[in-house]
Formats: sequence, C-alpha cells, structure tokens
Amino acid sequence: MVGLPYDCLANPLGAVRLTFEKAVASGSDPATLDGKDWGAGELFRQFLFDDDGLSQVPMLNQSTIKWVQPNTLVRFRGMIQDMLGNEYYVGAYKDGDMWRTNKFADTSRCPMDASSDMRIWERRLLYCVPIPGQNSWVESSHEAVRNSISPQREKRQREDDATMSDVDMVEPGYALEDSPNPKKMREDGMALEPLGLQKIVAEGNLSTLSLVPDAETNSLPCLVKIYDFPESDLKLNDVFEFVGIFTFDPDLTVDRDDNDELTDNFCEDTLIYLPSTKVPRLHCVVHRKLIGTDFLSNPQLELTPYVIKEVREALLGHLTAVLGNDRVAAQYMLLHLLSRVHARIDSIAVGKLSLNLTCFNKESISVFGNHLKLVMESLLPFTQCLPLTVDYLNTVSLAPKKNYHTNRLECGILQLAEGTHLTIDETSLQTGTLNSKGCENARVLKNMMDSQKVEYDFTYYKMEMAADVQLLILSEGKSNILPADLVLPFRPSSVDSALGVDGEMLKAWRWYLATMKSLPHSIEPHMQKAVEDDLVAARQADRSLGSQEFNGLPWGA
Amino acid sequence: MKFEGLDCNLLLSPLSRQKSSCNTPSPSFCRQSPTPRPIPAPTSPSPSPSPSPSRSLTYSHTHTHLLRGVDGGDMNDLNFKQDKEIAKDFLTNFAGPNGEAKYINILQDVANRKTKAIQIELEDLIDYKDLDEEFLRRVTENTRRYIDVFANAIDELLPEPTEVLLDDDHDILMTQRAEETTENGGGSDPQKKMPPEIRRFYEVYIRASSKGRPFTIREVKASYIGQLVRISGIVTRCSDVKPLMQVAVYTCEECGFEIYQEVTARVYMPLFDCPSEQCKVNHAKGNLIPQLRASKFLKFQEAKIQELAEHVPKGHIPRTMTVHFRGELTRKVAPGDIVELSGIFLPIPYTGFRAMRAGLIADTYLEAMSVTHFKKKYEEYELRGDEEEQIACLAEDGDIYNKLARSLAPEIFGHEDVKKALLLLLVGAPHRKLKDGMKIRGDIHICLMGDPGVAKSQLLKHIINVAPRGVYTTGKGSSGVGLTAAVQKDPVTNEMVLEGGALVLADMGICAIDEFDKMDESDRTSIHEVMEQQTVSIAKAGITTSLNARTAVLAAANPAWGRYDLRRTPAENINLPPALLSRFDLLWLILDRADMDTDLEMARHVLHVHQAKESPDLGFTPLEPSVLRAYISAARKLSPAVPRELEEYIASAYSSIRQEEAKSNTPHSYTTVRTLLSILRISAALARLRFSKYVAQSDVDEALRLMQMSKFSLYSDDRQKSGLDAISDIYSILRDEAARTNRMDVSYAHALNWISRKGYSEAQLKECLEEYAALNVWQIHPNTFDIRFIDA
Repeated sequence: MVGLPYDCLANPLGAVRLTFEKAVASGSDPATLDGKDWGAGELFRQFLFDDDGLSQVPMLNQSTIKWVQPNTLVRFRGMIQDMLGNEYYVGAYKDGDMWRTNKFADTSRCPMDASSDMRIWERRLLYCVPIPGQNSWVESSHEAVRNSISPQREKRQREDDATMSDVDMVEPGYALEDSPNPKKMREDGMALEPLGLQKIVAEGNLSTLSLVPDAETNSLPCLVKIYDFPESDLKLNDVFEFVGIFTFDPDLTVDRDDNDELTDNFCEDTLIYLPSTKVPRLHCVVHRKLIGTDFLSNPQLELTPYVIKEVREALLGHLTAVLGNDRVAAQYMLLHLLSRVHARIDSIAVGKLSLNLTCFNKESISVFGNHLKLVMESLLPFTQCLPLTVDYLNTVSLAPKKNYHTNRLECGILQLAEGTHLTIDETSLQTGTLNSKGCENARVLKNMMDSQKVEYDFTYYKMEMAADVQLLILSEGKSNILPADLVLPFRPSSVDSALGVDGEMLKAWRWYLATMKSLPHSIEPHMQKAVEDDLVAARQADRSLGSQEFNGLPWGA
Repeated sequence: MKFEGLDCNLLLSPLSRQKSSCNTPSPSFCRQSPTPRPIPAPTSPSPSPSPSPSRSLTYSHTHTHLLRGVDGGDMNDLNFKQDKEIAKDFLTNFAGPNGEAKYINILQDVANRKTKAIQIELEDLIDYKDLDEEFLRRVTENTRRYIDVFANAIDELLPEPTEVLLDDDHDILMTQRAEETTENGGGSDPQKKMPPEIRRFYEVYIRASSKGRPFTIREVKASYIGQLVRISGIVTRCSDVKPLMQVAVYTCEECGFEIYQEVTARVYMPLFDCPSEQCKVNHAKGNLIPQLRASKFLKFQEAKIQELAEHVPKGHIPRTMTVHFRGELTRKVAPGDIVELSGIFLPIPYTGFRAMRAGLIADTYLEAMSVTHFKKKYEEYELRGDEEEQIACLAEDGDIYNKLARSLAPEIFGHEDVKKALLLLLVGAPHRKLKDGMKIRGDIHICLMGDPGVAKSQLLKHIINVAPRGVYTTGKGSSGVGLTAAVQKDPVTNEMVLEGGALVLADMGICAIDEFDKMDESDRTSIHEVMEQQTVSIAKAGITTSLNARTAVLAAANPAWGRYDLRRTPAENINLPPALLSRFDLLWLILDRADMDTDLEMARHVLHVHQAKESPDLGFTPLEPSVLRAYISAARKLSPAVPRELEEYIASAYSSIRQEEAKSNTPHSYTTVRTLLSILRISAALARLRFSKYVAQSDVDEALRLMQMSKFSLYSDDRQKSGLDAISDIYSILRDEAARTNRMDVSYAHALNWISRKGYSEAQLKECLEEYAALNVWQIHPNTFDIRFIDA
C-alpha cells in the first residue's frame, strides 16, 4: 500500500472513515459491524508494525501534551488502574443516505438528526496511570527512542506554533474529503484548542487527583477507550502501551456545578470527576502488553551460557560490594531479585521469594539501606519503598478501595504493577498502638507476603487481586509482622563507598535480570525425590516447620 | 392519593425555576428541555416523544383506546391492536396449575383494591397453550411497549368490584371528572381527555422467566437495549423513595378545564398556556395552575447494583448498573442485599447541556420488573425443579453424609471429621418450645481450637459461603458495634439508633467468630446469653430492649499459649471459662502433630504443586455450594423425634461419659446436662440428613463418636500412659460391646465406631483383628471384615 490517501499519523480519523465507507460500500451491513473491525485496525497495525510507524508516534506525557494535536495518533504507556465499565455511543448512524461512524471519536462530526437511524455500540473505558514507582532510567530510555526520531519531533514543534493555514496544510485530505461540515469541525477541534491546552498546563499541576498513586506532579493519567478487543486481554494492574487517537474537546468539559440537585448525585457520570482538561482521552487502536524486557533501551545481549555467567558474576560482585562484602546476602538477594510468581495453586503463589534481611541497626540502615535503595532503583524498572512506622500504618491506605460516591477505585499503595519491587523498612518501627486502620493495613501486608494477593475493598465484599511483587524487608530482628520466605542475618564487614558503575554494565545487568526472570524452569524427577526427602527429614527434625516454609524452599534448589 | 416521603422540591423546582426565567431560553432552561429525546433503541419503545399534552381518551369502558407513542405508522398501530387482543385472550384464558383462571383472579383482587401489582409471568406466556412464538419474542424484545399493551388490555378486562369499597379521595375525584366530561359533551376536545394512567390504580409488571442462569451485569450488552433481562448483583447504593410525577394535572384560570400532561421522563416542562379549544379561540392564553392533589404520582427509587465477586473475571473490576424501581417495587432492596432482578434494559438520553453531544453517548439503566432476594433464609428457600430431583437422587445415595462433608471446603486437605461436624452445624436440630414457654435451642455451636496454621480460618470462611445467611467476624470485631449490639448516633439524622452487631445480623443463620479467645470482655459476657437464650439484651442510652440472635456460633480460637502445650492440662490450654465452654456442643481440638505419613503426604503435595503448577486431583467431584445449600434447606424442613426405645441407650451413654470423666484426674471435657442436649441435637441433625423422621441408634453412635473424635489428637499420649497395649485394649472394648448387646456378630463399621470413640485408629483395629483371628478368637469375613466371635 504505497501512497495512502490519508496520513495515519496526523489524520487517523480519516483512515477510520475511509475504511468504514469502503466496508459499507462493499456491502456489509453497518448493523453487523458492531464489535468488529472493518479494516481500520488492520490498517493501523500495518502502518505501526510492518511499516515501522510506531517510532514516529509521539509518546503522550506531561511534556508532550503541550504540543500534541488532538485527533492525531499518540502512544501512552501506563498501568490500568481502574475500569470504568462500558460506554454506549452511537456507533453508526445514517446521515441522509450515507452511513457514518463515530468509532474512535468523542463527538460526531456532523450534527445528527435525532430521528435518524442509528446503532448503539459500546466501548470500554479504562483509567490508566503512569506505572507507580517507575524509575527514571525507564523514562530516559523512552526519551532516547523519541530523540532518535528528532525530525518528526521538529515537525511537531513547528506545527505547534503553526497557524490555521498550517493545519490545513497538514490535513489537506481532511478538508477536501467528504466532511460535509469542515468549518464546524475546525471550530470545535482546532480553534478552541489553544485555550484548552493552556488549561491543561495550568491545571495539570493543580490536579489534586487522589486517584494518582503518588502525587508526582508530572504524572499524567489517561482515559483509554477500548474497542472490539476481548475483555480478557486487558486486566487490572497490567502495564500496556496503547496506540490510539488523542481527542480533546473543551466543549465536553462538564463542570460539576452543572450537575443539578434533581439527580441527587445519583445518576451522575463518573466522567465528571475526570474532566478532559486533566485526563486526556485516548481512543485505542492498537495495544500491546509490556513485559520486563520492553523497558530496556537496548536489549541485544546474546543468550549464551558464557555471557550469562559473566554478567551474573559481575552483578553478584556488585551486590556483594553494596551489601558490605556479605556474599551470602548477595547470593540470596540475587535469587530474590529473580523470583516471580510462576503459578497459583489454590492459595499458594508458586515462585515468590520474599527476603528478610535482619540485624540492621540505626547506623547500618542509614548506610546500607540507602545503598540498597539506589541499587534497586538502578537495576529494576519499578521500585517502591515503604517506611513501616506506627503512624504510617495508621494513616495510609494500602489496599485500594472502591468509592461508591465517585464510582471510582481509589488507589492504594499496594496497587502495583506486576514485577514491582517493594522494600519495606521495618527498622524505624517503634512501639505504639495500631488503630483499626493500622490493623487492617498490617493484615493486608501480611496477606501480600503470604499469598501475593491484595484484597481490594468493595465495602460489601473484598476481592482478592493477584499481585506479583518482590518483597524485601529490612529489620532489626526477624520480622514477625511480615513473615518472609527467607530470613537472613545481614553481616557486613566493610563499607564500600565507591559505588560508581558505568552505564553499559548497568544495562547488561538490567537485561540479565529482566531476561532471566522470564525464563521457564522445571524440576526433574530425581531432583524432586531429593527435595522431598530433604523436606521430610527437615520436618522430622523440627516440628515447627509447616507447609508454608516448604513452599519457600524449592527456590533455592 | 398517598405517596410516601413527598418531596415537594422535586415537584416544584422545575416550575419555580421556570417562573424566574420566564420564557427566555437560558442554559438552565435548555437543560430541562421538555423534549424527551427519542430513545435510540432499535425498536423504540419510547413513550410519546411529543411535548404536547396527552393525546388521550375519555373515561369510558367501551371506548377503543388509542395507544400512546405511535407517531404515525398505522401498521404499527394495527399490530399493537392485534397484540392487545392476544393479551386479552391470554389474561382471560390462562389457567394456573390447578386450572383456575390465574389472571382473572388477580384482576378481581385488583378491582377489590386488595393488590396493586399485576405481575405477568413470562413463563406463563410460554406455557400458554395457544402461544404465539412471535408474540412472545415481541414481548421480550420490546417490553416497555408491551406493558402498555397489557395495561390497555387490563383496562378493558377489569371486572367490577365484588366487595363494597369505601370511596377514597381518588375515587371521588374520578367520579367528578367523569361527570364533568359528560357535561362537556363527551370529551370532543382531545386536549382535555384523560390519559389512561390517571385512572389506573394498578401497576403492570412483566417478569422474566426464571429458568436458566441470570445474566451478570457484564453480559448485558448494547444489543440487549429495550429487552427484558434477568440479572443478579449486589445493591451498593439506594436513594430515598421519592414521588415521581406520572400525570401532571392543571386547571385553567380562564376556561376552568382540567388539562392533563403525561410525564415520561425524570424532568419535564410544565405547561403554561392553556391548550384548550376555548382558550385558543378566544386567544385568552389562560393561565394554568398545577393541581398537585389531582396529579398522579408514582413511588420512585433508584439504586445501583454491582456485580457479585464470583462473577468478576480475574483481574477485572466489578461493573455497576443503575436500577429504577417504581411503584410497588420500591423499598424492596437495601444496600448490601444480593438480588436477582428482572427488568428492561433501557437507555437514558442525556438531557440539556449534555445532550449537546448530539446523542453520542447514552447512559443506561434497568427498569425493574421484579426483585428476588438471593441467599435468603433456609425457611424461604424455594427449590427449583432440577434441584428437587438432584436432592432426591443424593438422598438415595447411601454415602450422602460423607459426600456432603467432603464437599465442604474441598481444597482443605483432610480434617474429615471436622467437616462432618461443620456440616451438622449447618443442618442444625429443630428448635423446641415447650408448653410452659421454655425454649430449647436447636442450633449447634462448635468451637475449633487448635494450633496456628491448621486452616481454621479458612474452614470458617467456607462455611459462611455455604450458609445462606452467615456473618464472619473476628473476636475483636471490626466495627465499633462489636459482636452483640450498640446504641449509635446516626451521622445523618443525629438520632440514636440501635445497631445490631454480628450476632444479631446473623439471626437465623451462622455467625463465625475467628480469634474467639481474643474477644472483648463485654462481648464475652453477653455471648453467654446469645448462646443459650439466643437473644441479645441491651440497656444503653435509654434504650432497653432485647434482640433476637437465633444463630449458630462457629468459633475458632488458639490455645492459651498460642500453641497447644502438651505438658499442661487441657483445662489450662483451653483458654475459655467453663461457663462458655459448656455451651459449645462440640469443642474440636486440632493439633498439628508429628506424623510420618501426613508429613510425606504434605511434602508430596507441595512438590506436586511446584512441579506441575496445578493442584493434585481431589479424587472426587465436590458438590456445588448451591446444591449443598439446597440439600441442607430440604433437610432442615424435618424435625426428627427421639423414639422411646433409644431413651435408655442415650441415658446409659451419657452416664458412662460422666463416669469416665469422674475417674480421670485430668478430664478433657466438662460433661454437664448440656452435653446430653448436645448429643440429642447432633443426633437429630444426623437424622435430618437422612431425611428421617426418627433418630436412629446409628445417629446417636455417630454423635458420640464425633464428640470423642473432637479430642482425638490428645489421646495418643494417654494411650502410652495407660499400661495396656492398644491391641488388647481394642479387643476388650469389642468384647465388652458384644457382650453388652448380646450378640456374636459385630459389623466392621460398628467396631470401628466403638474403637474410635476410645481413641484408636483404623490401622490399630486391623492389626487387632488379624492378631486375634490368628488366635482363633474370632473369624473375620474376608471381604467386609465383619467379626464373628467363636465362643467355646
């Protein structure tokens, strides 16, 4: 397909429209196109993946939102934080004799006659937030991708200060095509746009959305509208890259006062709390689940035993240095960093390996705790730290909770993406009284430790959501509140202050951790026998061992 | 006309606002656009989209009624007329199960003002002999419209009341109106004709067929718009019940006519200029005065329902849906109720400002047609057709007791006797009320005490899931109300309200209390009353009352020092006062003890899980909780009696327990008269499970065995202490029992029962059987292992 009559990047809606008309012209009944792709998705996939258009698509974030044009193709990376259910919209309608579609759009391009024939379709709304605990190196690797396509970027910037004529130039096909009301369109979409975008910039910082997990000012949530794809594809807390059409229509910002008392705040729309000035809309065309290796900037190391061994040794050496020459701790730390939940059987999460490093004191925590934190941040894409104090437990809300008044899921600290690393610092815990909230939080943490599940509070019932979080606990003695799979006394012998590592090395390590984590493994029958005997022997020797301890062990094998 | 909680603001606000902004359209004006947007449903059931005052009819029984909402299309009109005839035919001729004219009877009740709601069961339509398939399809797919069709049919069919009725003000109004219309020449002026709604004193509902599985909210898609669906969910929010105007009535200052306006949306535009012919001709623009008293209102309530936890696919958030309840269906639900609703899935067009999105997006709601509460009490449990068969099938199976017990928490390994006890707790014994007013409880209380990590809490949670009414709480209690009851200040009204705690909420159900040993002192005292008298008395803040708490208590507790300390006496380990302990029918001690077999079993299980990444096969298919629930509810309908022959047997069993306890210097149990009652209760529950009207000796034996097994884990030590070796002890037990019953044959099952009551295992019994058979003391049947004593 050379010489497309439309620009997928700048005028995706044109492509949607053309393919729709083609489909209708070729005899498909518009009524049957509900929930189906009539070729538009195929077209975009071809453009993005086969023709390598993906790299030209700008990434939507706090800085790019200032210059991204509405109704163009953008990318957004984020974690699905909430699912807002279905939205019913007029998917296809008859304008005179022509069938038209509203798919991938917020507003109709031409006013609809109320009595005209129309079809109601549905789309799903997902509320996505930037991945909690994302480290800066992940961000910069995105930048790198975008910088590599700087010509495109320059063009965008030029467009940014472009005048109306410029817009026409970019979208000549648009005006010339069949849009019966181009003028109105421009008024709606373009003329008001500078004003609206300024609003975003102004309000972006004010956004006191408690919905955003950590109130980073530069985090940008996004409301993604999903078409056609089966529901099971997209799960809560999954990290996705969405490619879709960015829409922004200041007309649609319904302000809250407008909500008259007649409705008793009952029938109100959830979207009232998510004005498009704060939460941009994205009509998803293509989405892709991101896994560990997708966050690396250059995943190109060869998977040979030699290379792996070398990288592993280097990483182990680094960890040993960070851990004050405690090689045993470093070994365990490496195993811990490589753990992930492979399977879930009944209530057991197979493959988790939480680590509790004990024997910390005030001095050592300030030195090693910080070092560890820095190392984690440099090695893993998402890391979070939890200072465990009585006050903290009593005030913070760890588990997400459904707010029935706003009809939103309020984010808790423990709503984390798969593969997040969580360090819990128990050394600052003092004696004190936990209130009911504190008890609940402690219980949630313990549940997370035991079964890698977080109970989301839906008031009338709790729903357990599976999590896959690596938990590292730093404590003075063995943590009784948070029983980890492995408890290891930490014995540093030196303090290595020089922790400088060169960038290439870091990249290799990140690659090693991300790749190794995703590899499968199996236990051979003879190995099974050996482990089985060991377990029984251990239990005969020590009665206090239970099945929980056993579940932790096979990881060492 | 009565309506509850009349909120005049609701009625007047459109008007008062309107007055302030006169006739100049302003944004607020626009928002209350009188034009209800046509509903973009494929088969639009939308009632009259025209803002004009009702086009309707005179008050007369014979008049052929026009149908509302038919804007052109005589064909349509014709079809609906035909369908009305079908509806009439159905209503007149449908015969109920006993051959009576079901709907005519209902209509008679309506005419006599005994009921207001007419529920048309879709199932009846399906069963109807002259069923027209097409008609049925039209009813399910365009339900809103067919409610009208049926209502019109009923208007024509409604019989004269057979009882003398007192005229209420509604009737008086109607009579006056009827007179007026005749005076004015039979209602030639269509603007003044009365809409049929204002005369109707009944409500028509079409109820979806209850066959098959209801939808989850997730499954109701855009293609179901306008159709009758049945869904299940949990109510999360409820609005107040408010009056909703159905027909607005005005009188004109100039001509004095009554003008009617039908209201079909939540907001409407009141009329201001009199549309009557007289005023029009005179150009009088008569001022209209709304007549609240003459207008017709409906009770209206909104609620939100949410998907049930078990219907949500993994990794998804429960969906919600708005439900509208009208008329008789209001006040049927409260937040937290699990309900099954049938209703019509309809879109609400956005009004006003948001409609400027050009109808791009529509909200949807469910217009409720019927409400059924889920997981109701056992007493109200109605068996569905297939369930009855299934239960009959199960009851014939001889092994039902074991089968049901194993199906409780199938994923928890072992603990078979504990599960049996819990099954009996679910079944319970009948409550007895003696002639002198004394009540004897039938609920079986069970306390599980054991080392940490023996799956006590999991068992508790499973039981709550199976029970139709169950509350899970911890001894500390999560809310300030605690376990029993508390007087609290309502945050909204500032009134003092009595709030029931977990035990009160679990009335007629099961209350599972985890961490029983860590209970508040105040609750611990009041729980004495709950467990025996089954009431909660409260005397706080000027409120003195007694609440029912007829609940079976299932408690889980840890021993005094966290783990069971074998060096101390049982009494020391069991950290509960005797007064409380004696109230439990069964106190189950679950100790985590060393045992090569179970250890190996567990190690294998763990490794299997890690290797195959799946659960090992259970070896049987557990019954669904719903089947369990149905079976138990069927069993609970019986109240078995103890036959006279058994009295002696039970009495001697009881006295022997007392004797044994007196002999032992460290008794494991407190045997009191309550124990005797416990034996009776457990036996009765067992008889219920067999669907028997009488308690059999086998039931009593099993009850005694369970009581013994509950302390089983303690006995291994005692055995070692008593010098007698196990094998000879078993022999003497069997010998004694055989001598007592004067028989030479002992069945294996009986033998096992007896020896396990003394704390021996099956393996030991087998060993004993072999050893003594070799000595030719008895013969063992090669297949059944039944014993026959060879006496010289």
